[in-house]
Order: sequence, then C-alpha cells, then structure tokens
Amino acid sequence: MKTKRIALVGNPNSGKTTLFNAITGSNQHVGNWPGVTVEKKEGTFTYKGKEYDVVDLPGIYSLGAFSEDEVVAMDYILTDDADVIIDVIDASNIERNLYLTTQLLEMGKNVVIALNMVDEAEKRQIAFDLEAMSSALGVPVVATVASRNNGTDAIIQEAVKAIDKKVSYTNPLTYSENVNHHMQHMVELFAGKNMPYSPEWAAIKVVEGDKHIISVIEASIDDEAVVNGIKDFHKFHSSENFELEIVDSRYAFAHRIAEKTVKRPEVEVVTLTDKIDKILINKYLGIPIFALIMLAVFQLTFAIGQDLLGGYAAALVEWLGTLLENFLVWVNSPDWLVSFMIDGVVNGVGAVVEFVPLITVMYLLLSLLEDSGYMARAAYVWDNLMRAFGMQGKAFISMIIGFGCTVPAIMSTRTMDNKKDRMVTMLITPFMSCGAKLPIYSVFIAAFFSNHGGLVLFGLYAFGILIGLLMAKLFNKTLFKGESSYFIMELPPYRFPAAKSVLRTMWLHVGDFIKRAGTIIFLVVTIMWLLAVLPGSAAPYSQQSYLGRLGTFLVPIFRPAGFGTWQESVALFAGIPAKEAVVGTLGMLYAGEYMEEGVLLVNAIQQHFTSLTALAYMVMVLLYTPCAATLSAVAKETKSAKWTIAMALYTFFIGWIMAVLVFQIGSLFGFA
Amino acid sequence: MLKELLALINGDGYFSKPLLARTLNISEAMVDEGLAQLLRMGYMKEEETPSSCTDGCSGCAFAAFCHKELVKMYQFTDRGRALLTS
Repeated sequence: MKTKRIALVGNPNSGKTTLFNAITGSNQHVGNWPGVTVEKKEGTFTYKGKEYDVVDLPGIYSLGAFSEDEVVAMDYILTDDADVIIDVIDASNIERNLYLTTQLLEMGKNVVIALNMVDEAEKRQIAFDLEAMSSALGVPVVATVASRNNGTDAIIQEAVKAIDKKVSYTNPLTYSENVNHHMQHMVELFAGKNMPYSPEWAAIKVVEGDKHIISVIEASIDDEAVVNGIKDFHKFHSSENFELEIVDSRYAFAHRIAEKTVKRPEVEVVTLTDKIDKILINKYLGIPIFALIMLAVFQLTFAIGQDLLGGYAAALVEWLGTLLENFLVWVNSPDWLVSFMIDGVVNGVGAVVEFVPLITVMYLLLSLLEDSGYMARAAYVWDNLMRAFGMQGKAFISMIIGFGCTVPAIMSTRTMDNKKDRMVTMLITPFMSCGAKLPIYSVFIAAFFSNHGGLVLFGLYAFGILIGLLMAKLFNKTLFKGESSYFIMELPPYRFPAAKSVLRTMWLHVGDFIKRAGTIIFLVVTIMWLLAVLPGSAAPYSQQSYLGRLGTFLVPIFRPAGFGTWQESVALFAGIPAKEAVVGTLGMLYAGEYMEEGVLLVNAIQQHFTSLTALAYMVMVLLYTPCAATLSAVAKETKSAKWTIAMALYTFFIGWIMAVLVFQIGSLFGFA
Repeated sequence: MLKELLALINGDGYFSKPLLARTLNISEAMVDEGLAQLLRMGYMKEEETPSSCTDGCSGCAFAAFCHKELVKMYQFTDRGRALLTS
C-alpha cells in the first residue's frame, strides 16, 4: 500500500521549513526538483505505528506561474500527489498569507492550516478565533509554534485525520457576475471532456488568463472546440480586467476572514509622519520650507566648515608649505623645484584642499537630510513645480545628483524613457552647482561676503536652479516640444538617520574631493605652472609667460563682466578641465605675483576684485561651460558631437550674459 | 482592494505605504502584495530611478555619487489609466 503523503506549503518566512524539521526530525533528505534548481526537501514520520511521507514545497506567495518556485509548487499540488496539504500561515501576517490559502481552496484541495508563530503574533497583541477561522474556511486550523515544537502533534493529528476525508469541490469564493458568467460558459465548454484539472478550477484559470495552465489544457486536450473556445474568449475579452477581478475576489475573501477572526490592536489613524507630511509636502509651503532648510544647511556649512574649522585647515596647509619649503632649501633643491612645490602644489592644490572641512560639513548635512527621508519629499515638492516648467520629477533627482557631481547626474538621465525629458535634463543639469565649484565660491565669499556666506551660497544654488528651470521651459517651448512623463512617487517613512550610512555618504563625497585634488587638480595646476614659468626668457608668472599671453588673449571677452585681468581669465580657462582648478590656478598665480609679500589668496582676491566683480565672477563660475568630464559624459550619452559642442557653447554664453548683467546692472546702481 | 489601491495611488501624485494601509484598513504587507500584483498585471510599472545607472558601478569613477535610491517612482501603464477612467 502506498505511503500517505503530506505536502507543506506556505509563504516564505512563514516557518514552513521549521515545521517540516519539527515533524520529520532527522528523517529527511534534500534533493532537487526535476529539471530545475529549486531545492526539494523530503522526509518521513511515524504516527500511531504508521509511516507518512512529508514534502516541503518551495516558499511561495501565490500559485501562479510567475517564478520557478511557484511553478514547482503548483505543478506538485495539481498532480494530486499529496493526500493532504498543510498550509503554513504566519500568524502575524495572516491576511497576506491567506491569499495562498484561498487559491488552495479554489482548487478544492484537502487542506489543513497551521497558524504558525502565534507567539510572535501574541506579542504584537494579535488575537485569533481559531474556531471561527476554521468554520469560515471550512478546514481545520491548528495554532503552532514550530520553533518550540508547540502544536506539532496537533497538526500531525489533524493532517492524518484529513487524509481519509472525502473532499468534494466547493469553492468558497464569490466572483463578480461578469466573471461568473464567463466561468460558467467555460465549465459548459469543458463538460464531459477529459481534462487534467477539475472543470471549475480550469474555468477560473482560463478566465483569469493563466498562460501556464491554459497551455497545459491546450496541450493535453485533443478537442478543437475547447482550444478555439479558449482562444476566442481571450480574443474578444482582451481589454477586460478579469484577472484583476478574480485576484481582487481572493483578497476580499482573505480580508473578510481576517476581519471576522483576527483581532488587532487599534492603530493611530493619523500618525506623526502624516502630520509632518501635511506641512512638508504642502502645495504652498513645500517649496518655501525646502528653501529654508537649504538656507539653514548653507548657513551651518559656513558657520562650522569655514568660520570654525576653515582656519585650522588653512593653517595646516600653510604649516606644511613652510615645512616643505624649509626642507627644499635645506637640501639645496633647484629654484624651479621650490617654485613648483610651493607655488604650484602648496598654493595651487593646497588652496583647494583647504576647503575639505567646508565640503565635509555640507555633505554631512545633505546626507542627514537624505537619510531622514526628507529628500524624497523634496523630490515630490519639486515635481509639482517642475511640471510647470515642462519637466518631470525624475529630472529633480538628476539635479540633486548634480549638486554632488554633474557627470553621474548626466548619466542618471539614462533611465528616462522620454527622449525629450532626457535631453532637456541633460542640458540644464550643468547649472546645478556641483561640489567642485564650492571652493571657488568659498574663497570669494570669504573675501567679500563673510558675514552673509550662507545666504550668498544659497543664492548661487537657487540662481542655478532658476536658470535651469527657465532654460528647461525655453527648450520645451522650442527644441523639445511634447508631453512629459507623469510619475507617482513612493514616499519612504521618516527615520532617524543612521550614523554609518550618513558618514559613508559624506565620506564618498569628501574622499572623491580629496582624490580629485591629488589627481586631476594636481595635473591641471602642474600644466598651468609650466605655462606660467615658460618660456625661460619671460619673468615667471608674468604677462609675458605662455599663460599670461593666453590670459591676455581672453581678457577682452571677460572685460564687460568686470574681471578683466589675465589671471582671472586664465583661471576660468583652467576650470574647464576641472572646476577646482580655478582656485588652484588663482592660488598659484597670486602666490607667484606676491611672492615677496606672503599674501594669502583671500587677500589677493580682495586686491583684484570688488564685491560686484566677485559676484559676477561667481555667477560666471556657476553657469559657464561644464568640466571636461561632464562634456565627455554628454558626448557618450547623446552620441553627438553637435550636442556636446552646443552644450559647451550655450552654457558659456549663458554664464557670460549673466555675469555681464550682474556687473553692468550693479554698476548702474553704483555698486562698482 | 486592487482597484481602490490603484485609485488611491493615483490620488495626489505620491503615496506612502503606511497611509495606504490605514486608508484601506489593511496591513502594510498587503499593500506591498497589492502593489506587486498591480505591477505584475501590468497596470503600473516601476521606474528605474536615476540614482542607479544601467551599466553598474564596476570601474566607474563616479560610482560614489550613485549609491542610493532617493525615491521610488511608478508610472501608470495605458492599461492602468484605462482602469482608472473606467
């Protein structure tokens, strides 16, 4: 006589395998289901002197053909190999687990329910009426805690009892009238045919549109009328939502059972998150609050990163410079090496490194905002505003990435299906002020606006966003007409920022900044230094040097914007390979110019600029041609030299126009 | 539940799972389940967020900036829009 067989089925993490282990003990072996890599666990147990086989089916949420696990489980259950099925339900998550139960009942299977991990549920103050549940489902329900072997005997007893039970097909679910009508039609079509499944269940699956089951029916039945009937049904009803209706009927059934038999603690109707969200993502308050938060970020960045810690970094660079200079003189190094190391490396690269505390504080604060869940709200708030400019919310995410670095921001546009949105986002992203521009602003702010550092920095970032949005509107009205994609955003819950995650994010930015200072900035400053000291016939750092000649050539372009010396012009040129090199080059050139006087970069800037020209210079830096890496990313993403050149030129033009406007309008009002 | 879920998601251009769960008087796990069903049945599609680039991070000098998913975004398909207007 064939050994009776029990199958264990259940959702992942329902404790199904723990129950399997509790039932079979050491009498089990592991293999694979034929033809697939899904693990198959089988075992045996003896009850009242009789041996039973047990099979542990893969953990699944539903019986569909959407994954290998589901196909294995469904095929096994459909073959009727098991005499009884123990459906293991996680007691804390009963409604979701009941979906699978409803599918088993729909199949008309011989089911016993193990309501597992009831101890965990009780800790959460969830109570059950097992009798009512059993009566509503029409199957035995046993409470178990498989990890402690509680209820194992009772579930074995119920399963063994159920083996000999005669099961007649009764589907406890109710469907819509429309679905019922079509299911009835299918049952009539299948009547008297040699079907692999019960006609009622096959009808449900055909109306639901389960491709796996339909293919099995079509392959196993040699009846053209049935095959054509199924094909015609799907041909004429392809636009209807039968699958959704049937799935919804299962959820409704599971919900009704849970409502009747499970008692949960009352939950707050309006939580703190809801209350906070009502303000933070309010249609009218959202943007002003975002602006205030960012203003606070910039104020704190300056107060801590510059005023409090900036001096230490500058003193450290200066001390290292003096140490290095003394050493080089002590070992009788040639003049050119001393000049390169001190003017080029220390005053050039060092001028950039001095801003590490500032960068650290800014990214620490931005990481805190990101980790708390606020930035997702900011993206939603901005989505509304950006739609007014013909943009989509995804563009804001690219813009946020652009505040770190423009290159990944450009690359992030790959995920936009809509070509128009993608091109417009790429074209405006360089206006978002990246981290590399921060040292430039900082040194000019320290020179002229030290009392309002945060406000000026905020103004620059805001101005970049404004120009970006206006350009987006212009592009949408002219070059890239069409509808933008509409997105729904899922807001994550607020959470207390995790120190590890925040510090990691911050370090990624700071580490990158330091790495760039030691590589690309060093390289650019070295080239600039060579150009500034050559040819040998010219005085180093003079207008007659190669760099001086290049700068002199550029001067007429920038004179209308108020910064008309060759050093300032050539520093902007140096910013095209890498933005930080603007500060590095100014640091090197001014150090060379004021060699005897030991003038700091900030003091040198005060001698070369006015507050108005400094502002115009910062606006130029904010908007003009992006760095070489960004242009390379644009070339790669657009696969178009034309668009790459267009971006380099149009951003330069916008930057120049704005810088000229700032200077000329400021001059008109007497700020020159 | 699925139709109501779809309608609520469509409501304000954003959604949060806890809020949906409370509105529909179901658990958050059920909201996850419903959302997964709507995605599987093709009423909605989950958008790849811009913070993840398709080439992966291996060897990318800018990988440091692409480490996080800031916000999950979804889009209604034609089928989803048709259901909403039906």
